[in-house]
Amino acid sequence: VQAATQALALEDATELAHAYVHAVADALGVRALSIKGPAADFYGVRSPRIAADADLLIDPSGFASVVDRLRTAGWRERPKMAGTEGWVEHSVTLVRDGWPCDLDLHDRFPGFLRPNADVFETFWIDRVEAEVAGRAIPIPSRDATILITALHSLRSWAKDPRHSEELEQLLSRFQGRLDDAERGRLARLAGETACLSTIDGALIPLGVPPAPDGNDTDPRVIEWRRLVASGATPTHFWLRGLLGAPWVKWPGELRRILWPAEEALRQSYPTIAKGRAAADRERVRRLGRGLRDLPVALRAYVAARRRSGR
Amino acid sequence: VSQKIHHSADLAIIARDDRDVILDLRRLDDPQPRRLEGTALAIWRAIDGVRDRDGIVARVAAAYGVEEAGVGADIDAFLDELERLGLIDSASSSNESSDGRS
Repeated sequence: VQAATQALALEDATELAHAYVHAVADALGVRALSIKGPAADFYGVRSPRIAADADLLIDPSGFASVVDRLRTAGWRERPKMAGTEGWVEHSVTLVRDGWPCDLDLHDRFPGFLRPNADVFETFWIDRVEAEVAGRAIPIPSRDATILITALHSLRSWAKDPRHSEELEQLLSRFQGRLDDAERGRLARLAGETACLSTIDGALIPLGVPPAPDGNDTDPRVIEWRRLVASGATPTHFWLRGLLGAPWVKWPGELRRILWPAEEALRQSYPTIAKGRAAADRERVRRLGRGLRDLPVALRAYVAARRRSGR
Repeated sequence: VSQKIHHSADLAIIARDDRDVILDLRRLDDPQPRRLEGTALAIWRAIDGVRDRDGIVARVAAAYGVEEAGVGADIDAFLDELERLGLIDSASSSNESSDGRS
């Protein structure tokens, strides 16, 4: 008879990770909300599925201390491929040997344009407790979870086809089931957290109105629309990085984008077999994916610019 | 006087049909989930904050249809291990009620 430490299943790890990060945050006196998986399951906003990450929204004022504490506890940042710095500005992804899930820690959630601290405060005030791994952990309200789910689905529909289905599930779950007061509350929250422009009419069936025209020139909205129209593919981010760089740096940037160094490639794709030939095959596959997504990314740039009149 | 045994308070516990997975949330620098299956799981689930050692042995022996004397030593060893890992606590009591966390 023994208490074994091996073979941690992903479905178990993700739930335990939520409880663990809350324990770390609590010990530091930092507020945290579990988002996506536990909240989505609690409110039934999507079909249950096993998450590969534990996503938490951390009070921005204590975010760095939580990440630092986790680093001292043996968690390390998932390596990023060179040339992709700045892709993910809203979260830190941490991994640890023996844990099959990632910790995805957010100091903001993309698509809410109100200052990060204000958004967190708004979500915190209306938090609800859900039971995860036998612990009562705080999650955002149902309305906040609807908005988070919608924004998550919109920004990454091409990266994962499930995300586009989630928006459909969200609408079918709540359409016609919210009374006027509930629809009003949801719309008010979207206004308070400034996501009307980024949700951009996707939740009209739930009473969230389209964005006021005046927001079309907000650079954050333009960038969001490019992201959404491109499906948040790597090509979108490479294009953004390239177009944002001075012309003199383009040759070097292009070389990194089109044919990255082997070390950088292996950081991003750790399962590539040993040897240069295997690395070259992955480079060619990656290039093919990038070229395939390029027309969509370019169209997204042009469309967002045209819509904003810039 | 009996020693009622209960799960420690600061645990995260995943309870599945075939296993429990436990994480001690006090060990923030060494997050090592423990997976319990089979007889270990039966013993773990017999710990309800109300039973003492003899009650746990009786419960597990009955579940497996064996003599208590035949499993007592193994269960004692496992309870010792759980206590060493900080996953259970014992509380001396005569008749008072326990918090009964399970």
